[in-house]
Amino acid sequence: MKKIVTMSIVASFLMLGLNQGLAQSNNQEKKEEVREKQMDKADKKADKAVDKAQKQRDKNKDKASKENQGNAYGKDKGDMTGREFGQHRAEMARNKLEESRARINETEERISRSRLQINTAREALEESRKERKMTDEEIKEREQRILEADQRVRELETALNSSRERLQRTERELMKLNIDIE
Amino acid sequence: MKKLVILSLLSIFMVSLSCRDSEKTKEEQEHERTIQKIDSLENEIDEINQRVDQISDDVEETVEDIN
Repeated sequence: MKKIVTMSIVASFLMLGLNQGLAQSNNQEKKEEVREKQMDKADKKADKAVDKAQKQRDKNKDKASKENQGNAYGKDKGDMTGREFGQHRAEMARNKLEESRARINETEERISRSRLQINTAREALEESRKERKMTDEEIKEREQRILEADQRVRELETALNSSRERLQRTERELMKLNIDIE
Repeated sequence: MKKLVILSLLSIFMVSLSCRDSEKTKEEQEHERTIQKIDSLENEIDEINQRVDQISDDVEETVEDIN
């Protein structure tokens, strides 16, 4: 009788162990599958962002932003743990953030250049007025256009500042997450 | 007596196994939430980029108007 009880207990232990092993391996497979899908999705997103950034760079012929190309999007991630995957995604987000910061700086420079152009146009108009190269009506019309452009540039500068603040908020949130991951 | 000891050992073993499993699941869920948060932050950055591009184009257009 004792032997039977002991045997049955040992057998139940073995069954339990086997079940746990099977369940864990199944679980692991599912998790890996999900992670793989997430990786693909993230890589596609990142590639898209890189393409977009590349187009923007070509358009603006900006040499400085080319430095941001060295990211970790294509690296081998076959057997990453959840933590490693999180770090990988955080790194990608950080790269994107840098790219965005470069774009904002670029636009700021563009705004500065446009301010200079508006000032030059204003001076040229003043000269035309002195030398009577234009009629009063033409001068008035030109003056109005310069004023409107000046106002528009001011509005755009305000909009850019709020975009910068929004990016800073996003950066702070990302940093908080990084603390959790690392 | 022996039976009692063996049964209690068995139940301790089972409880510890289930605790370990639930801890693992909790950690996985935490990672999942972090990834989702990163996704949403990336979307936010995309939106900011779009807005900045729009501003940049508008500046260019405004200056072209006065030239």
